[in-house]
Amino acid sequence: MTDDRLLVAAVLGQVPGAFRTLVERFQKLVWHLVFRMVPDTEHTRDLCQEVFLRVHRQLHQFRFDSSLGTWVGRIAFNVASRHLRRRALPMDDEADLTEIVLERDGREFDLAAACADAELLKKMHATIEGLPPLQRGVLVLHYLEEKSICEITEITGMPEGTIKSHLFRARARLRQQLGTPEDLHT
Amino acid sequence: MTHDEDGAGRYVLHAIRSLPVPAPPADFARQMEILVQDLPEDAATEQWLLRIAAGAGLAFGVATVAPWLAASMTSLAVTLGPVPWRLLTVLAAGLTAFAVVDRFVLRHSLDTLK
Repeated sequence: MTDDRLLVAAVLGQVPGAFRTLVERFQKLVWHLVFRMVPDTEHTRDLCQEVFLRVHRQLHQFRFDSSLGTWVGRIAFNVASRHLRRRALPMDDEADLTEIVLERDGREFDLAAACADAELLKKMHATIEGLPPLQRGVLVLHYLEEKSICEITEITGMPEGTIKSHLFRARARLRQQLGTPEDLHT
Repeated sequence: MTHDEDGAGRYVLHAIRSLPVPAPPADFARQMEILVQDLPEDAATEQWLLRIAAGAGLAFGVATVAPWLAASMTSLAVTLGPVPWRLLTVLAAGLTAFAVVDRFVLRHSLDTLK
């Protein structure tokens, strides 16, 4: 947090190179999140630019209630969400969670065989791309950016239970793609 | 064993973590810095404060100078004696007429010639 304070003070004090350092520190997070929520490479760059312009414009309002990364992530999430809303794209779908839960089974799964199957991995990636934007965003924050549920709550402004539900539904859908162990060997 | 600790759960996590993610362009941070430097400073609040301060200064100045100005004008009128209002009015009307002719009639004629 002290590091955050130094960086924020440097940017607000217009120290040369300070804003560049801020962008370099958080560009991966912003890029990951925006790209996963709005999988349109044409817009990703523009939206990421918009995120950092907002960060620069609103930095004096940052009160250190959270980490700087969480605050930047919240702006990125809001920019991506607003883009989806403007284009009337659904953020989430109303999948029947009960149905997904019922499809869970306790059968054996050959992890080694699955890891060796490049086609399966490709299929899994395609499934992730097919998830609703909100679930993709939450997955990225939790598993790629390694944010805690609490941090994701702050970034998205959604309750903890909702975040957990999105994570569970996303993982459940991916498990559905794996099929049965027999399917993996055929 | 929880749902995600079994083989399938671990594979799901592996699939998520192996997602290809395009990296930002190498010069993205530098370009952002340039973009921010080129942006006009958002000084709306400061501008309003400046306007309020200027207005307050003007009001204070008028309030301070008004009594002195009134006294000076009275003494000036006494010093100059009666003013030839008719002559001043004719002069003002003449100057206004010249200004109108210069501004509208002559310029319109020049524009027509172009």
